Amino acid sequence: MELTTESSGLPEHGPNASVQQLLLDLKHCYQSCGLPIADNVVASHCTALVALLDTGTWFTAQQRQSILREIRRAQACKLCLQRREAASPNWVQGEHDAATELPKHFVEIIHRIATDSGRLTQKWFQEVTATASAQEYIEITGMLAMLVILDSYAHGLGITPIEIDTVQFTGDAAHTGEPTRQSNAAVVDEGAWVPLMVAPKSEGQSEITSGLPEVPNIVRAMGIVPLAVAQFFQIMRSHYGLQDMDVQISRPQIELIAARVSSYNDCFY
Amino acid sequence: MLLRESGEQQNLNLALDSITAEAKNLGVENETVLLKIAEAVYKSNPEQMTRCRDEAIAIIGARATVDAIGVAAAFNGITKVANATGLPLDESTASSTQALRRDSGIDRFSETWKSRQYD
Repeated sequence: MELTTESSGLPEHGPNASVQQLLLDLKHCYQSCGLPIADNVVASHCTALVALLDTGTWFTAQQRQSILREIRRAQACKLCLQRREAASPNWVQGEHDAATELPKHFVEIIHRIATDSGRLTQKWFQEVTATASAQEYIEITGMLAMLVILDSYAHGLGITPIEIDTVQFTGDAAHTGEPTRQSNAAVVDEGAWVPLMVAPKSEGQSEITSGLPEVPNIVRAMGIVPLAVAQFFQIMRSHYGLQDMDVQISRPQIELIAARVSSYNDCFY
Repeated sequence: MLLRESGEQQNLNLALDSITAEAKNLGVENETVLLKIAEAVYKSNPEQMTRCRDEAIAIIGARATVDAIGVAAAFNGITKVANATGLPLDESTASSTQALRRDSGIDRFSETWKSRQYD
Protein backbone atom coordinates (compact mmCIF):
# COMPACT_ATOMS: atom_id res chain seq x y z
CA MET A 1 0.00 0.00 0.00
CA GLU A 2 1.46 3.35 -0.97
CA LEU A 3 1.39 5.79 1.88
CA THR A 4 1.65 9.53 1.63
CA THR A 5 1.45 12.21 4.29
CA GLU A 6 0.26 14.71 1.69
CA SER A 7 -3.34 13.58 2.04
CA SER A 8 -5.45 15.98 4.07
CA GLY A 9 -7.00 13.23 6.14
CA LEU A 10 -10.37 14.84 5.49
CA PRO A 11 -13.38 12.60 5.02
CA GLU A 12 -14.78 12.61 1.49
CA HIS A 13 -18.22 13.73 2.66
CA GLY A 14 -18.87 17.09 4.30
CA PRO A 15 -19.29 17.48 8.05
CA ASN A 16 -22.83 17.27 9.39
CA ALA A 17 -24.72 20.27 10.78
CA SER A 18 -23.58 19.60 14.32
CA VAL A 19 -19.93 19.45 13.30
CA GLN A 20 -20.40 22.50 11.07
CA GLN A 21 -21.50 24.45 14.13
CA LEU A 22 -18.42 23.25 15.97
CA LEU A 23 -16.21 24.53 13.15
CA LEU A 24 -17.92 27.93 13.30
CA ASP A 25 -17.31 27.99 17.05
CA LEU A 26 -13.64 27.12 16.59
CA LYS A 27 -13.12 29.79 13.92
CA HIS A 28 -14.90 32.35 16.08
CA CYS A 29 -12.69 31.50 19.06
CA TYR A 30 -9.52 31.90 17.02
CA GLN A 31 -10.68 35.10 15.34
CA SER A 32 -11.84 36.77 18.54
CA CYS A 33 -8.88 35.93 20.77
CA GLY A 34 -6.97 38.98 19.59
CA LEU A 35 -3.90 37.09 18.43
CA PRO A 36 -2.62 36.76 14.84
CA ILE A 37 -3.37 33.14 13.99
CA ALA A 38 -2.34 32.14 10.48
CA ASP A 39 -5.12 31.12 8.11
CA ASN A 40 -3.43 27.79 7.39
CA VAL A 41 -3.47 26.96 11.09
CA VAL A 42 -7.19 27.72 11.39
CA ALA A 43 -7.90 25.61 8.32
CA SER A 44 -5.71 22.77 9.58
CA HIS A 45 -7.38 22.71 12.98
CA CYS A 46 -10.83 22.68 11.37
CA THR A 47 -9.72 19.75 9.20
CA ALA A 48 -8.41 17.94 12.26
CA LEU A 49 -11.62 18.47 14.19
CA VAL A 50 -13.75 17.10 11.35
CA ALA A 51 -11.42 14.12 10.99
CA LEU A 52 -11.48 13.35 14.72
CA LEU A 53 -15.26 13.23 14.75
CA ASP A 54 -15.58 11.12 11.61
CA THR A 55 -15.52 7.34 11.21
CA GLY A 56 -11.98 6.02 11.50
CA THR A 57 -10.25 2.92 10.17
CA TRP A 58 -10.91 0.84 13.29
CA PHE A 59 -13.51 2.83 15.23
CA THR A 60 -16.93 4.27 14.42
CA ALA A 61 -17.63 7.98 14.74
CA GLN A 62 -19.45 7.36 18.02
CA GLN A 63 -16.56 5.32 19.41
CA ARG A 64 -14.12 8.03 18.36
CA GLN A 65 -16.21 10.64 20.14
CA SER A 66 -16.02 8.45 23.26
CA ILE A 67 -12.25 8.19 22.86
CA LEU A 68 -12.02 11.99 22.69
CA ARG A 69 -14.15 12.35 25.82
CA GLU A 70 -11.99 9.81 27.62
CA ILE A 71 -8.79 11.63 26.65
CA ARG A 72 -10.08 14.76 28.34
CA ARG A 73 -11.42 12.90 31.35
CA ALA A 74 -7.99 11.40 31.99
CA GLN A 75 -6.72 14.74 33.26
CA ALA A 76 -9.14 14.52 36.20
CA CYS A 77 -8.80 10.77 36.87
CA LYS A 78 -7.82 10.03 40.49
CA LEU A 79 -6.03 6.79 39.60
CA CYS A 80 -3.96 8.60 36.98
CA LEU A 81 -3.07 11.28 39.52
CA GLN A 82 -2.02 8.68 42.11
CA ARG A 83 0.08 6.90 39.51
CA ARG A 84 1.77 10.11 38.45
CA GLU A 85 2.72 10.78 42.05
CA ALA A 86 4.11 7.27 42.58
CA ALA A 87 7.76 6.41 41.95
CA SER A 88 6.48 3.83 39.47
CA PRO A 89 3.01 4.01 37.89
CA ASN A 90 2.88 0.22 37.91
CA TRP A 91 2.83 0.12 41.72
CA VAL A 92 -0.63 1.71 41.89
CA GLN A 93 -3.65 -0.41 40.95
CA GLY A 94 -7.31 0.59 40.75
CA GLU A 95 -10.11 1.72 38.48
CA HIS A 96 -9.95 4.72 36.20
CA ASP A 97 -12.60 7.44 36.53
CA ALA A 98 -13.97 6.67 33.09
CA ALA A 99 -16.24 9.08 31.25
CA THR A 100 -17.56 6.51 28.79
CA GLU A 101 -18.57 2.89 28.33
CA LEU A 102 -15.41 2.08 26.39
CA PRO A 103 -13.83 -1.28 27.32
CA LYS A 104 -11.41 -1.08 30.24
CA HIS A 105 -8.33 -1.87 28.19
CA PHE A 106 -9.06 1.06 25.89
CA VAL A 107 -9.59 3.32 28.91
CA GLU A 108 -6.23 2.20 30.33
CA ILE A 109 -4.50 2.93 27.01
CA ILE A 110 -6.09 6.35 26.70
CA HIS A 111 -5.54 7.46 30.30
CA ARG A 112 -1.94 6.27 30.54
CA ILE A 113 -0.83 7.82 27.26
CA ALA A 114 -2.72 11.04 28.03
CA THR A 115 -1.33 11.52 31.53
CA ASP A 116 1.98 9.66 31.84
CA SER A 117 3.31 8.72 28.42
CA GLY A 118 6.90 9.35 29.51
CA ARG A 119 6.86 6.34 31.83
CA LEU A 120 5.32 3.78 29.51
CA THR A 121 7.32 0.60 29.05
CA GLN A 122 7.24 -2.26 26.59
CA LYS A 123 5.90 -4.56 29.27
CA TRP A 124 2.87 -2.27 29.74
CA PHE A 125 2.42 -2.07 25.97
CA GLN A 126 2.42 -5.85 25.66
CA GLU A 127 -0.16 -6.15 28.42
CA VAL A 128 -2.60 -3.65 26.93
CA THR A 129 -2.20 -4.94 23.40
CA ALA A 130 -2.99 -8.47 24.51
CA THR A 131 -6.62 -7.35 24.22
CA ALA A 132 -6.35 -4.45 21.76
CA SER A 133 -4.89 -4.76 18.28
CA ALA A 134 -1.84 -2.73 17.26
CA GLN A 135 -4.08 -0.99 14.74
CA GLU A 136 -6.60 0.07 17.38
CA TYR A 137 -3.73 1.19 19.61
CA ILE A 138 -2.27 3.36 16.84
CA GLU A 139 -5.62 4.89 15.92
CA ILE A 140 -6.20 5.83 19.57
CA THR A 141 -2.65 7.21 19.91
CA GLY A 142 -2.99 9.32 16.77
CA MET A 143 -6.32 10.75 17.91
CA LEU A 144 -4.92 11.49 21.33
CA ALA A 145 -1.93 13.33 19.90
CA MET A 146 -4.20 15.39 17.65
CA LEU A 147 -6.48 16.40 20.51
CA VAL A 148 -3.46 17.26 22.67
CA ILE A 149 -2.28 19.64 19.94
CA LEU A 150 -5.71 21.26 19.63
CA ASP A 151 -6.15 21.60 23.40
CA SER A 152 -2.56 22.71 24.09
CA TYR A 153 -2.85 25.36 21.40
CA ALA A 154 -6.16 26.61 22.81
CA HIS A 155 -4.65 26.72 26.28
CA GLY A 156 -1.63 28.59 24.93
CA LEU A 157 -3.86 31.21 23.35
CA GLY A 158 -5.98 31.51 26.49
CA ILE A 159 -9.20 30.18 24.96
CA THR A 160 -11.44 27.33 26.06
CA PRO A 161 -10.87 24.06 24.16
CA ILE A 162 -13.72 23.34 21.79
CA GLU A 163 -16.58 21.30 23.27
CA ILE A 164 -16.94 17.91 21.59
CA ASP A 165 -19.77 16.41 23.64
CA THR A 166 -22.38 18.49 21.81
CA VAL A 167 -21.85 16.77 18.46
CA GLN A 168 -24.82 14.65 17.43
CA PHE A 169 -24.63 11.84 14.89
CA THR A 170 -28.27 10.79 14.97
CA GLY A 171 -29.74 10.34 11.50
CA ASP A 172 -26.49 11.27 9.81
CA ALA A 173 -25.57 8.57 7.33
CA ALA A 174 -22.09 9.99 6.74
CA HIS A 175 -21.12 9.50 10.38
CA THR A 176 -22.74 6.13 10.92
CA GLY A 177 -20.50 4.29 8.46
CA GLU A 178 -18.54 1.22 9.45
CA PRO A 179 -14.76 1.39 9.84
CA THR A 180 -12.92 -0.11 6.89
CA ARG A 181 -10.48 -2.04 9.11
CA GLN A 182 -7.82 -1.86 6.41
CA SER A 183 -4.23 -2.30 7.51
CA ASN A 184 -1.03 -1.34 5.77
CA ALA A 185 0.72 -4.68 5.20
CA ALA A 186 4.04 -3.03 4.26
CA VAL A 187 5.41 -2.87 7.79
CA VAL A 188 8.49 -4.31 9.44
CA ASP A 189 9.80 -4.99 12.94
CA GLU A 190 12.70 -2.59 13.58
CA GLY A 191 12.78 -2.58 17.35
CA ALA A 192 9.84 -0.29 18.11
CA TRP A 193 6.87 -1.67 20.07
CA VAL A 194 4.76 -1.40 16.95
CA PRO A 195 5.66 -2.49 13.43
CA LEU A 196 7.14 0.36 11.38
CA MET A 197 6.13 1.27 7.87
CA VAL A 198 8.67 0.11 5.27
CA ALA A 199 10.74 3.05 3.98
CA PRO A 200 13.85 3.41 1.79
CA LYS A 201 17.10 4.76 3.33
CA SER A 202 18.26 8.32 2.64
CA GLU A 203 21.60 9.23 1.05
CA GLY A 204 21.53 12.74 2.53
CA GLN A 205 24.55 15.05 2.84
CA SER A 206 24.14 15.70 6.53
CA GLU A 207 25.84 13.54 9.13
CA ILE A 208 22.60 13.55 11.09
CA THR A 209 20.23 12.49 8.33
CA SER A 210 22.40 10.28 6.14
CA GLY A 211 21.36 6.67 6.35
CA LEU A 212 18.08 7.48 8.04
CA PRO A 213 14.90 6.25 6.41
CA GLU A 214 13.53 8.88 4.02
CA VAL A 215 10.33 8.80 6.01
CA PRO A 216 10.93 9.83 9.63
CA ASN A 217 10.52 7.05 12.16
CA ILE A 218 7.72 8.95 13.86
CA VAL A 219 5.67 8.71 10.64
CA ARG A 220 6.63 5.08 10.18
CA ALA A 221 5.49 4.30 13.71
CA MET A 222 1.89 5.07 12.79
CA GLY A 223 2.18 3.53 9.32
CA ILE A 224 0.08 0.49 10.10
CA VAL A 225 -2.96 2.81 10.04
CA PRO A 226 -2.46 5.13 7.04
CA LEU A 227 -5.47 7.30 7.90
CA ALA A 228 -3.98 7.99 11.34
CA VAL A 229 -0.73 9.11 9.70
CA ALA A 230 -2.54 11.42 7.28
CA GLN A 231 -4.76 12.93 9.95
CA PHE A 232 -2.06 13.45 12.56
CA PHE A 233 0.57 14.92 10.25
CA GLN A 234 -1.99 17.17 8.62
CA ILE A 235 -2.22 19.13 11.89
CA MET A 236 1.42 18.59 12.92
CA ARG A 237 2.64 20.17 9.68
CA SER A 238 0.70 23.37 10.37
CA HIS A 239 2.99 24.03 13.35
CA TYR A 240 6.24 22.25 12.57
CA GLY A 241 8.21 21.06 9.57
CA LEU A 242 11.83 20.46 8.72
CA GLN A 243 11.72 23.14 6.03
CA ASP A 244 9.61 25.92 4.50
CA MET A 245 7.95 26.99 7.72
CA ASP A 246 6.14 30.35 7.52
CA VAL A 247 6.92 31.46 11.06
CA GLN A 248 8.54 34.41 12.83
CA ILE A 249 10.87 32.41 15.04
CA SER A 250 14.21 31.01 13.90
CA ARG A 251 15.08 27.34 13.41
CA PRO A 252 17.20 27.19 16.60
CA GLN A 253 14.31 28.81 18.50
CA ILE A 254 11.88 26.26 17.07
CA GLU A 255 14.15 23.36 17.96
CA LEU A 256 14.77 24.78 21.42
CA ILE A 257 11.04 24.75 22.18
CA ALA A 258 10.70 21.30 20.61
CA ALA A 259 13.58 19.92 22.66
CA ARG A 260 12.33 21.38 25.93
CA VAL A 261 8.76 20.14 25.48
CA SER A 262 10.14 16.72 24.52
CA SER A 263 12.20 16.78 27.70
CA TYR A 264 9.14 17.59 29.83
CA ASN A 265 7.45 14.61 28.22
CA ASP A 266 10.43 12.34 28.99
CA CYS A 267 10.66 11.62 25.29
CA PHE A 268 13.77 9.76 24.11
CA TYR A 269 13.03 9.95 20.40
CA MET B 1 19.04 16.28 18.06
CA LEU B 2 17.83 18.80 15.46
CA LEU B 3 18.64 21.63 17.87
CA ARG B 4 22.30 20.65 17.62
CA GLU B 5 22.18 20.61 13.82
CA SER B 6 20.31 23.91 13.50
CA GLY B 7 22.80 25.53 15.88
CA GLU B 8 25.73 24.29 13.80
CA GLN B 9 24.12 25.59 10.61
CA GLN B 10 23.86 29.06 12.13
CA ASN B 11 27.31 28.92 13.76
CA LEU B 12 25.84 29.00 17.24
CA ASN B 13 27.76 27.38 20.05
CA LEU B 14 24.81 25.95 21.99
CA ALA B 15 25.18 24.53 25.50
CA LEU B 16 23.09 21.49 24.72
CA ASP B 17 23.95 19.66 27.91
CA SER B 18 21.53 22.07 29.64
CA ILE B 19 18.50 21.25 27.50
CA THR B 20 16.89 18.93 30.03
CA ALA B 21 17.85 21.04 33.05
CA GLU B 22 16.47 24.26 34.44
CA ALA B 23 19.78 25.96 33.67
CA LYS B 24 19.56 28.70 31.07
CA ASN B 25 22.11 30.28 28.73
CA LEU B 26 21.91 27.67 26.00
CA GLY B 27 22.81 30.35 23.48
CA VAL B 28 19.53 30.79 21.59
CA GLU B 29 18.11 34.30 21.13
CA ASN B 30 15.29 35.07 23.61
CA GLU B 31 15.59 31.59 25.03
CA THR B 32 14.28 32.57 28.47
CA VAL B 33 10.86 33.56 27.26
CA LEU B 34 10.71 30.69 24.75
CA LEU B 35 11.46 28.17 27.48
CA LYS B 36 8.73 29.76 29.60
CA ILE B 37 6.29 29.18 26.75
CA ALA B 38 7.39 25.54 26.49
CA GLU B 39 6.87 25.07 30.22
CA ALA B 40 3.52 26.88 30.37
CA VAL B 41 2.06 24.97 27.42
CA TYR B 42 3.22 21.65 28.88
CA LYS B 43 2.00 22.37 32.42
CA SER B 44 -1.29 23.81 31.21
CA ASN B 45 -1.60 26.31 34.04
CA PRO B 46 -3.84 29.22 32.91
CA GLU B 47 -2.29 31.91 35.16
CA GLN B 48 1.25 30.91 34.24
CA MET B 49 0.29 30.85 30.58
CA THR B 50 -1.29 34.30 30.69
CA ARG B 51 1.77 35.86 32.35
CA CYS B 52 4.13 34.13 29.99
CA ARG B 53 2.11 34.98 26.87
CA ASP B 54 1.98 38.68 27.80
CA GLU B 55 5.72 38.71 28.48
CA ALA B 56 6.45 36.94 25.21
CA ILE B 57 4.31 39.32 23.17
CA ALA B 58 6.21 42.26 24.68
CA ILE B 59 9.59 40.72 23.86
CA ILE B 60 9.23 38.80 20.60
CA GLY B 61 5.88 40.08 19.27
CA ALA B 62 2.42 38.55 18.94
CA ARG B 63 3.01 36.53 15.77
CA ALA B 64 6.22 34.95 17.05
CA THR B 65 4.50 34.17 20.34
CA VAL B 66 1.68 32.40 18.54
CA ASP B 67 4.21 30.49 16.43
CA ALA B 68 6.09 29.44 19.55
CA ILE B 69 2.86 28.27 21.21
CA GLY B 70 2.10 26.26 18.06
CA VAL B 71 5.47 24.49 18.16
CA ALA B 72 5.07 23.72 21.85
CA ALA B 73 1.54 22.38 21.30
CA ALA B 74 2.69 20.25 18.36
CA PHE B 75 5.50 18.66 20.38
CA ASN B 76 3.24 18.13 23.33
CA GLY B 77 1.22 15.97 20.93
CA ILE B 78 3.89 14.20 18.89
CA THR B 79 5.87 13.13 21.97
CA LYS B 80 2.84 11.09 23.01
CA VAL B 81 3.14 9.14 19.75
CA ALA B 82 6.88 8.61 20.21
CA ASN B 83 6.50 7.54 23.83
CA ALA B 84 3.55 5.25 23.14
CA THR B 85 5.21 3.43 20.27
CA GLY B 86 8.60 2.83 21.90
CA LEU B 87 10.46 4.32 18.97
CA PRO B 88 14.20 3.54 19.07
CA LEU B 89 16.75 5.99 17.72
CA ASP B 90 18.04 5.29 14.27
CA GLU B 91 21.43 3.54 14.36
CA SER B 92 23.41 6.49 12.93
CA THR B 93 21.69 8.99 15.21
CA ALA B 94 22.29 6.77 18.21
CA SER B 95 26.05 6.65 17.61
CA SER B 96 26.51 10.30 16.57
CA THR B 97 24.64 11.64 19.60
CA GLN B 98 26.01 9.31 22.26
CA ALA B 99 27.94 11.98 24.18
CA LEU B 100 25.14 14.53 23.87
CA ARG B 101 22.59 12.09 25.25
CA ARG B 102 24.86 11.17 28.14
CA ASP B 103 25.75 14.78 29.04
CA SER B 104 22.22 16.12 28.71
CA GLY B 105 20.56 13.29 30.62
CA ILE B 106 18.44 12.26 27.62
CA ASP B 107 19.53 8.66 28.13
CA ARG B 108 17.26 8.45 31.14
CA PHE B 109 14.32 8.63 28.71
CA SER B 110 15.42 5.44 26.94
CA GLU B 111 13.34 2.28 26.96
CA THR B 112 16.10 0.38 28.78
CA TRP B 113 16.25 2.94 31.57
CA LYS B 114 12.45 3.19 31.89
CA SER B 115 12.00 -0.59 32.02
CA ARG B 116 14.60 -0.86 34.75
CA GLN B 117 12.99 1.97 36.68
CA TYR B 118 9.27 1.25 36.33
CA ASP B 119 8.65 -2.44 35.55
